[in-house]
Amino acid sequence: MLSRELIIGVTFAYLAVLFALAWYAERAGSRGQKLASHPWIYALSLAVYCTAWTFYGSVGRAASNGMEFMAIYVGPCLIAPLWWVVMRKIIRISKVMNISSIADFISSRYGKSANLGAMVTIFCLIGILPYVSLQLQGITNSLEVLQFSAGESSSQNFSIFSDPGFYMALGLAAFTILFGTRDLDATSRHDGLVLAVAFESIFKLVAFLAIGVFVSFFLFDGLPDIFSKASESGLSHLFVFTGESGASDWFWMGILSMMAVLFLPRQFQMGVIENTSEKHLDTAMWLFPLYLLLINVFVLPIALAGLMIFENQPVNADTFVLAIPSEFGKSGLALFGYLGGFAAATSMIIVSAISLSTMVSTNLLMPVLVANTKFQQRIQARLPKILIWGRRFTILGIILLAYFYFRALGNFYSLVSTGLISFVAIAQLTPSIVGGIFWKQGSKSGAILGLLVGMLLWSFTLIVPTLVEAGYLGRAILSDGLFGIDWLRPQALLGMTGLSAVSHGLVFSLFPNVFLYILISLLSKQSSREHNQAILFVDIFNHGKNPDRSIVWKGQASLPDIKSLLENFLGEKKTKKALQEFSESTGRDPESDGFADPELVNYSQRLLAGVIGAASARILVDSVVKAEEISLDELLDILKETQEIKSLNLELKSKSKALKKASERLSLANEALKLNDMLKDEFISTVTHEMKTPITSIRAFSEILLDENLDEGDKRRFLQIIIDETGRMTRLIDQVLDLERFDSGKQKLNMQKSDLASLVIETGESMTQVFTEKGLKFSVDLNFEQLEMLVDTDRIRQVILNLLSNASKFASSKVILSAFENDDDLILEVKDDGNGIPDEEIPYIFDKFYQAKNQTSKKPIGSGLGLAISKKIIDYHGGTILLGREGEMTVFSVILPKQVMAILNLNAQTIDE
Amino acid sequence: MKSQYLWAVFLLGFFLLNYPLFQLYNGSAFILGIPILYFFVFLFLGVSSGLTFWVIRKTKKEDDAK
Repeated sequence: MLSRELIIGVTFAYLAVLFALAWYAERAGSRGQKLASHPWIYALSLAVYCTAWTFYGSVGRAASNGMEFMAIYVGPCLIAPLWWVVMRKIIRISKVMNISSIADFISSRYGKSANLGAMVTIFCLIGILPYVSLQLQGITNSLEVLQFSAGESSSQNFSIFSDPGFYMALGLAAFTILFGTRDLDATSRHDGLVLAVAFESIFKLVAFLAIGVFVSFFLFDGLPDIFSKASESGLSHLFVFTGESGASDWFWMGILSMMAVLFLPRQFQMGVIENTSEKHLDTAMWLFPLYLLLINVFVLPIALAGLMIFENQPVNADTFVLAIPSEFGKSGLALFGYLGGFAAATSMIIVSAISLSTMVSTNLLMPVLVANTKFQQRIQARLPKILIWGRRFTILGIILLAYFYFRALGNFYSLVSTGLISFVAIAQLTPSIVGGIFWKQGSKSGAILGLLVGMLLWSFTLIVPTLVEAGYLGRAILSDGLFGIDWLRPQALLGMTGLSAVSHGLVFSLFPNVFLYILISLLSKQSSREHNQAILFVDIFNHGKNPDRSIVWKGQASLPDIKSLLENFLGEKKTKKALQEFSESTGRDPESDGFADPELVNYSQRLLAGVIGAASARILVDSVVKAEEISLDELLDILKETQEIKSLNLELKSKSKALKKASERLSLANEALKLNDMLKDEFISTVTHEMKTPITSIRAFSEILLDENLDEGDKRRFLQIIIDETGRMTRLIDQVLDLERFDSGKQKLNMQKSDLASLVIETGESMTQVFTEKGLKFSVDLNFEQLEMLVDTDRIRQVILNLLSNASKFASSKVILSAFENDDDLILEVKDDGNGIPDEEIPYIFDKFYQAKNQTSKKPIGSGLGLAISKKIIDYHGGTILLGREGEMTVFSVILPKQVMAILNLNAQTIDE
Repeated sequence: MKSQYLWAVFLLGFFLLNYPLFQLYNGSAFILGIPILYFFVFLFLGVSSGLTFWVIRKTKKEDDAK
């Protein structure tokens, strides 16, 4: 069995290990080894969320309410993925603005208001102190359980100085002071502390799992065994939510714990202030929920086992974790479990004490000390000392206060309900924080009023019943309401029943808080400082690393004044380094003119904020600065101007882009024009060349005719040649004109519904004579009897004739004209068995004068415009003309779409354009 | 992109683990000898953190690819 000395010895040994670990980490940190900046350490340090409440209280809760205990862990698990959205922004803001606590965060957001900071600090103190005291109570209770089972009776002639709990509290205070207040700069990280907390997180998890495994697999035959036995013992009501409020409680507890895991001072300390890299959130977002899942897996099984083992025995369910191993003589395991609970409690106490002490020193103590300028100037040199000793005494004070609180008041409520009441208090900060980082209009008056009313209602709905329970208030207020007014009953406001006390308190404090925050923010007007801060907070990701320039502020300070302020709080070395960094980042040397410009003043304020809080930094800097008060209108004007310049700039940019595009288009058009010009030149030279040939021969023959010594036969022959040549010229000119009309879009088609079958046959027949003369075989082949289509018959005939006449010129023995239809198109083909066209020339075959260009040696057989015109005509009909080969035959195919009308309309439009 | 994915995980978890859906598994039946409420609450929490892990790995790869 465990002796009292052994337990206390082990406890202090554990504390010594913690000291050693923290000390080692600090030492490594000073050598530049950052042991604590690992994403896993970060995620584990967040598990400071799991306190003695998790370790002991969850089991107690599960023993009475079943799965309901889980609600407090489901919320954090669900909200974890959103840390990327919310926490990352808060972390960024806090790093940029040198924020040291949640009170400082709120104060800084709402115009660096000292009042708001002090208010939040006091609320946090009131809200958290019982919660800290609960941890001490948890430790003491667990000690009693172990000693009870060891056969010793406790608490006879009780004295503080013989109470080991008292010495443990002192030990914790010493640890916290030693590793939590090493540096005056409250934003600086505490490596040793973080590592110690991460270690405690692992320790409590392992301890709890060990007990869970012992209970589930050694005392019982696995989880199904526990559940089936519990079911037989009539405990199956714990497997489900029962009662009307089950579902709504589950929901409200989830929401409540989401807010708590973000904004509890200790979570803020670990999650935001001690964060070294936003990237660590990536790991924390899945590892932290996993941790919560693991530490809760055995809660219900332990509770069920405890209920079955201690049936009809007066054992408090909050102590099952230790009582079960003790009952079965596993004192080593019980001791391990006790240390796990100790770890859970101490990590919470340590971190909460640090965050609360920072709040008290920077948001309560400091503003009071610097409020009076004369007083402040007298004690300025001693301020840093006062500040750090203030922080140390606050830590001691908080822990001792918590100790006496539980000695005086404890044991009225279970672990869980005290914790939940604290959660509801912290939830009151949510509107001003979430509104503050996402909504620029959120104002100081809105935040103050919302908070005040929220806290008032919190006290009324949740604290008043506690006081009644403890005997400080009469019971009448619970049953009859305040002043005997029925709808002012603390646990049934407006007659609302059916919610659990905590859900009821949450709903009735948080909603008025949110409502007032929004309403007053909408109605009230922000001061210029408030607005500056609001913009900085909401748009933090846009301001990047230089927030000092974004603050609009008019004023000037002498550099020595600012410098002496900085040196006072940061020390000479750090001040020098900071000023150097400033001149490096801005490229200006502040030393040159002896004056600090607004940017430097803002920068100094930010530096000081890390040490003494945003509000005090503002008060201090203001005392040495000649500032012109800027009205909000002025500020808005300036911001608007900046905005306008920005948008003008943007507009200019987009215009120049458009201009560039237009000029690109222009140069493209120019290219095209040049090409066209060249083509035109070429065209004209070819046409004139073509004209020259007949004109030369006409002239030559006319000159011969002038000579009278010619016989009649020769005269007639020459005249016939002249007539032929003029005919050729006329044709050429007609074709050129045709082409020009098609090219310029002036050509109109005379569309008529006509039968393509008869058109093809007639056209073919008209050429029969020519083919017979040349001794060529010619056949016409149709696969339809009649096909009505909308075409310009003359033009289509022209195309067919042109193709046939070309074929007649090149064919060696036969020419085939075929026409067939498919679903969409009519296809006309002209095939000949000539030599065909070389592959490399196929792309140019439909160009103007293609043939002329390539037949310099022979007398041209045509103008070279026929195919170009045919192509135009078919284009106008919405069809295509192609050249291919089919075995030995050269094939020209014309594809005409049957729905010519629709396509024509389209074409006509594009041509009109 | 990452925020959208994480929002989706949050909404999915919120839907699965809240009224009215949890009425479906708030019953007295057993799965593998374990009460279904207990079973599903832990299952869904596991799924939610698994999905978060997956989203982070996926988006990290995309970031690296950039």
